[in-house]
Amino acid sequence: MRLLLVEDDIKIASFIEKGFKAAGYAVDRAEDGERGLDLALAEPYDVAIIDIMLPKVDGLSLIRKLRSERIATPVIILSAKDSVDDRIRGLETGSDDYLTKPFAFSELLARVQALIRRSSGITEPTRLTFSTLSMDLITREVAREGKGIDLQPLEFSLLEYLMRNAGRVVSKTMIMEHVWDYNFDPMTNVVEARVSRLRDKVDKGFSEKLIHTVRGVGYVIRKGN
Amino acid sequence: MSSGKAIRFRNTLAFRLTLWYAAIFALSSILAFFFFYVLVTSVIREQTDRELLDRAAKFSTLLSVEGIDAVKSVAVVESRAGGVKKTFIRLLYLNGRVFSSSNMSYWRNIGVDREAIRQLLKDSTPVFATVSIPERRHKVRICYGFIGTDIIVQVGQSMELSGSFIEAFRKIFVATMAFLLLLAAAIGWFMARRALSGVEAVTKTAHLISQDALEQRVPVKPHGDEIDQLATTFNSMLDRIETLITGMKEMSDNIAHDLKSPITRIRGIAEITITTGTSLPEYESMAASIIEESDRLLGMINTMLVISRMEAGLGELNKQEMNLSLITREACELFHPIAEDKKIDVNCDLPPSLAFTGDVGKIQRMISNLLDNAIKYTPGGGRIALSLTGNKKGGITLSVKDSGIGIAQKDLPHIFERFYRCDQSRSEEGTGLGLSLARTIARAHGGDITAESTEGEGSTFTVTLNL
Repeated sequence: MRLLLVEDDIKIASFIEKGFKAAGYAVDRAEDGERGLDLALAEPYDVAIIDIMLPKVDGLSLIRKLRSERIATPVIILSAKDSVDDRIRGLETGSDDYLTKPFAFSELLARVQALIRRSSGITEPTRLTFSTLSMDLITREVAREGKGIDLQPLEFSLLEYLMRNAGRVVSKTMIMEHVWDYNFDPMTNVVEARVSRLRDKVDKGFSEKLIHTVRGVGYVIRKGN
Repeated sequence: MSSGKAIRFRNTLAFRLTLWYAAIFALSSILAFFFFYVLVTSVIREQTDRELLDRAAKFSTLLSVEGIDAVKSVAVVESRAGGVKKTFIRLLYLNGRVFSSSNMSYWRNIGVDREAIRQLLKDSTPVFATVSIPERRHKVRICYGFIGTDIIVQVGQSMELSGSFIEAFRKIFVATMAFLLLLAAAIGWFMARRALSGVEAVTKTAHLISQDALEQRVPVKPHGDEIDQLATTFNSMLDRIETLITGMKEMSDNIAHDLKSPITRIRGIAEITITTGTSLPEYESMAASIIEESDRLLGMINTMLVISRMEAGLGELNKQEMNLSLITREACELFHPIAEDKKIDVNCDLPPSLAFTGDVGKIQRMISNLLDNAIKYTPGGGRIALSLTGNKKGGITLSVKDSGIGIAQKDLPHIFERFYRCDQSRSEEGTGLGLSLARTIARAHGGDITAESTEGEGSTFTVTLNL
C-alpha cells in the first residue's frame, strides 16, 4: 500500500511515517501543498493523509485540485479545527474522512485502513474468525474452540469491533464511538469494565489469551500472552 | 460633547439639530409673512381700485347730467380737495389727447399710456395700471375708463397707504424674525441637548469601560423612548461582554491552576524515567502514563472549550429529534458494569418513550456526567435512582438521586462552578468539570440543573428541560 503524507509539522509527520511503515505501508512525505500536489499527480497512491494548514497551497485547495484532475485517491484530512462547520467544509471539498489533532495513532491507522477497504470494494464478511475464536454476524453465534459463548448484545458489538480490527489496537474513544455511539470519552473507565466482562467470557479457562490491554492506548485482539 | 475625545462643536449632533430646527422655523415664518403680505397688499389695491372706479363713475354721471364743463371744473376742485400730491384727473379724447386736467405740476412725469387706451377701446372695461415714478417713494395706481361715448377719464391715486404699510411691515418683519430665530435656536438647542443627554450618558459609560471599568452600566430612565432602548440594549451587550471576559479570565486562571498539574506529572514521569530508568518495562510504563495523562489533559481542554463555547452562545448545538428515554436507558447500561463492580444498585425509572429535540451527543454527555458523579460519590452497597418524567406541556424532568456521601451546605452553591471541588472529593479522580458541563448543556437546551443534598445521606440532581 502506498501512502502520501502531506504535513508540515516534521515531528508529527515522522511519527505518522514511522507508524505506517511499521504497519507495512510505503510512505511518501511532502512538507508543503505544492510538493504534495506534484507527488499526487505523478504517483498512484492508495490513500493520502493531508493536513489543512499547509505552506504554499493549503490542504483544502490541494484536495480540490486533485479532484478536479480526476484523481480519486481516498483522502483523510488532519486538522486542529474541530467545529462541525470545519468538518463539513472538509468533507464537501472531496475528502473522505476527517480527523482532528491531537489524535491517537491507532485511530488514524484504523480510519486509513477503512478508507482503503471501502475504495477497493472489499465485501463485508459475514463471519469473523481469529485463532480459535469465531463469530457469525448473521446468526450472532460466538464460539471458542467450538464451544458456544453467550454474549449480551453490547458485548457482541464490542467483540465484533475488536475482531474486525484484530491485530490493531483500538482506543477507548474508538470503542465508545463505534460500540456505544458516544463521541466522547466519559473518563470513568466504563470501557475497561465492559472489556473485563467480555474477557471473562472469551478468555477465561483458555491458556491462550486473545483480548489484551495496551496500557494507555487501548485494547487489541492478538495471539500470544 | 464633554467626554473623551472632544468632538468639534460644529460637528455635534446637537448643533446640527439646532441649526435645522432654526432653519425650518425661519423658513416657515418667512412663508407665513409672505402670504400675509400678499394678502394685505391685494386687499389694499382692491380698495384703491374701487375708489378709482367710484370716481370715474361719478364723472360719468356728472357728464350725463351737467355736461363737460361741470366735469372739468369738478375734476380740478376734487383733486385739489383730495390733495394735488395724492390724486389727479385727466380728461382725454378717444385718440388719447388730453383736453382737460387737474393740477398736474406734481404728476408731470405721468403721461398717457397708449397701450392702456387701446385696450380700453377694445374691451370697453376700465383698465388699471401701476406706475412708479423715479425718485418718488410711492407708486401710482391709474385707472382709465369711459365717462361718455367719446371721453376717457384717467384717474390716478398715489399708493401712499400701501407704501407705508410695507414700510411698517418690513420693520415688524425684521424685528420679529430676529427674535424668532433666536428663540428657535434656543429651543432647538435645549431640545437637542435634552434628547441627546441619554446618548451622552452612553458615551460616558463606554468611555469608562474602555478604561477598564467593565462593571459600569448606563443609567436607564423610565421613559421607554429610543434613548432608553439604546441604553438597555447597550447594557445587555455589556452584560454579555462582561460574562465573556470574566469567563475568559476564569478560564485562564483555571488553565494556570488545573492544567499545569497533568503537565507537571507528564514532565516528572519522563524526567525520572530518563534519569533513573534502566529497563524496557520502566520505559513502557512511562509511555503509557504519558498517554494517559495527555488524554486526561486533552479531555479537560476539550471540555473547557465546549463549556466556554456554549456559554458564549457559540457552541453549535446539533439539534435533532431523539427518544430521551432510549438515550437515558443506554447511559444506564453504559454505567451498569461499573455500578455492579461497586455493588451499587442502579434503578432507572423511565417512560417507554419521551420525545425531545436537542443535541444528542451533548445530552448523552450530560446524563453520563450525572451518573458518573453519582457512582463516584456513592459507597459500595448504595443505591442510585434515576427517573425521567415528561409533563403535558413538554417540560422534562430528569433526576438522579444517590445514597452517597452528600455535599456540605457550604459547597452546595458552588458545585456547578468550573474546577470547584469539595474537600472530600479531592481524592477522587476527575476533571472538576463534569457538573459544570452538565449545567451548561442543560442551560443551552433551555433548561437548568439544581442540586439538593444532605451530608451523609445523599444528593439529588434534578435537570429540567424545555422550561
